[in-house]
Amino acid sequence: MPKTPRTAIAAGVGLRLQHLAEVAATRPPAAWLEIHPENFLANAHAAELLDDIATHYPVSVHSVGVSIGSADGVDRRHLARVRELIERLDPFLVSGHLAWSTHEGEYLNDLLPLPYDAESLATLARHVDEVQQALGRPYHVENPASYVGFGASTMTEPQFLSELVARTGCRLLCDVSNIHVSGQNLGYDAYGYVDELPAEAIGELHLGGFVIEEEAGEGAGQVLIDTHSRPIDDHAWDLYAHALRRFGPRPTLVEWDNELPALDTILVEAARADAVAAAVLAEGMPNARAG
Amino acid sequence: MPALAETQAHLHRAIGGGDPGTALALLAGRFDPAQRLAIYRHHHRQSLTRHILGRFPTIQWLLGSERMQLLARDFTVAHRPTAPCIAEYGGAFPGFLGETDDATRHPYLPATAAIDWALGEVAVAIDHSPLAIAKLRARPQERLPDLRLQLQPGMRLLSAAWPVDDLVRLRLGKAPPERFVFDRQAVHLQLLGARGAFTIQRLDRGSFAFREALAGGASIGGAAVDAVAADPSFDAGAALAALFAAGLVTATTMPR
Repeated sequence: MPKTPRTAIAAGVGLRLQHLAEVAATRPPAAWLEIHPENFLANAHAAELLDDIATHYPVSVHSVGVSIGSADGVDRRHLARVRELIERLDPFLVSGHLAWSTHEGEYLNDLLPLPYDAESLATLARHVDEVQQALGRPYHVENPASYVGFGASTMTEPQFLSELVARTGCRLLCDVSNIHVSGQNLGYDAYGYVDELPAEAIGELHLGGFVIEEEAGEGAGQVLIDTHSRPIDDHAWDLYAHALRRFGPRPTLVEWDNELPALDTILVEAARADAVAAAVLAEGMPNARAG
Repeated sequence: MPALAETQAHLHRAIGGGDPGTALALLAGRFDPAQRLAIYRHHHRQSLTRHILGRFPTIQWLLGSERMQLLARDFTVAHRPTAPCIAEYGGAFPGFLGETDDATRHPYLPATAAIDWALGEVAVAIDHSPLAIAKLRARPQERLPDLRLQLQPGMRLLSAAWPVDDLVRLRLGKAPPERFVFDRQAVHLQLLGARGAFTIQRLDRGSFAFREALAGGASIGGAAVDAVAADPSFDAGAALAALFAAGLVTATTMPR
């Protein structure tokens, strides 16, 4: 049985290579840890430390390379490597992105956007089925941070995700910060987005920092870039509280991947997430509802 | 309305630096498509370039950040990653560097880059329990030449026409020496690493050929033949003892 967070609301932190030795040596008070398998598959030393760490902490595996959105299909060689790691770690949760990152054998090292239409849905559903079958467990699909939309889209993102859940039985990783970022960038209501998601399918929440950049040109505004390089913005904290009221308590991850600070700084953010969750629970979650 | 594969082909071309025209026509919303597409292109280019800079610190130290940025950017265009473990990306950079004007002016650059790459690999290896030479006594002595040896996974062997290991040591050193002479001189190097640490050792020509052949899967007898060809004074017994004494042998296999 995988180790699971001691309470559903306890916030975890992303375990990045720069903090690996410190975590292995000092075992800081993190409720759980999220790892990117791609950081460990080609690093035997890191994998060895991770094996030890995983005996002390619940672990969530979050792949950035499975690419369920690629029209070419899932990278089966990579999926097999991820499966091997998952079998060793026995994580309490496995997730990836609503995105594509490979094309004709090239890996683009980014999470690229999809048009939300019938063909994409059929493609995604086929690939999520394949991934869930290969891994032998539910796959949690994360909403992306988006900078563009497509003229071909016939569904909103939450409609698309809800359909994907209905077709595959997959679960969702709701990145609250991504909803705020995409909402600002594409001009939709982030709170309405949260309200549209199927609450019973949400298995995890994410929070991460972003930067604001000015766009050029007449009448241009700002664009929010999902960098995971800063503390979490107040707008995201407010939306997080709303998400908790709507979904109920869920394991929440604080992501920080770039301009990495001391681990203590990230743990402080996780403690803030715990405090927000505790305050929402104390309210009695008046708006919580399923579906 | 283009099929998903076609949409991704257009975006792939645009993000990789090609003509964005068709991709831009696919985008719709209250934003400037060109500026937004540039976000993806910028991230793609920056993340790969940053990775290459990190994997070749001695080349950056030698050429300077500005030149290295340009080389890394050109490399990421010419050699795209093919797998999601980005740590595995960049092994072709030494060869790419060898085709540039920089290598014409500084012919030691490709070998230096090869050391940088290999050090990155060996530093994240883990060492296995070494085998004692006494274990060989359990083998039929007349068949020892057929025995194959498994060596530590964090070992790499590199030859260079220039003493490029001195450049790496110089970069890693605390203070530059008063005077540094860098003349052409062939070196045969063993890089050995595990768990974040590594050593660089020069080997004589015979020992290098012996270890290189063993690492390539040759039998002890076959590796000794290679070593004698490289250095007629090669002593196979002493070389074998040195290999075990250094803790480099982790397993043996005897073909049937």
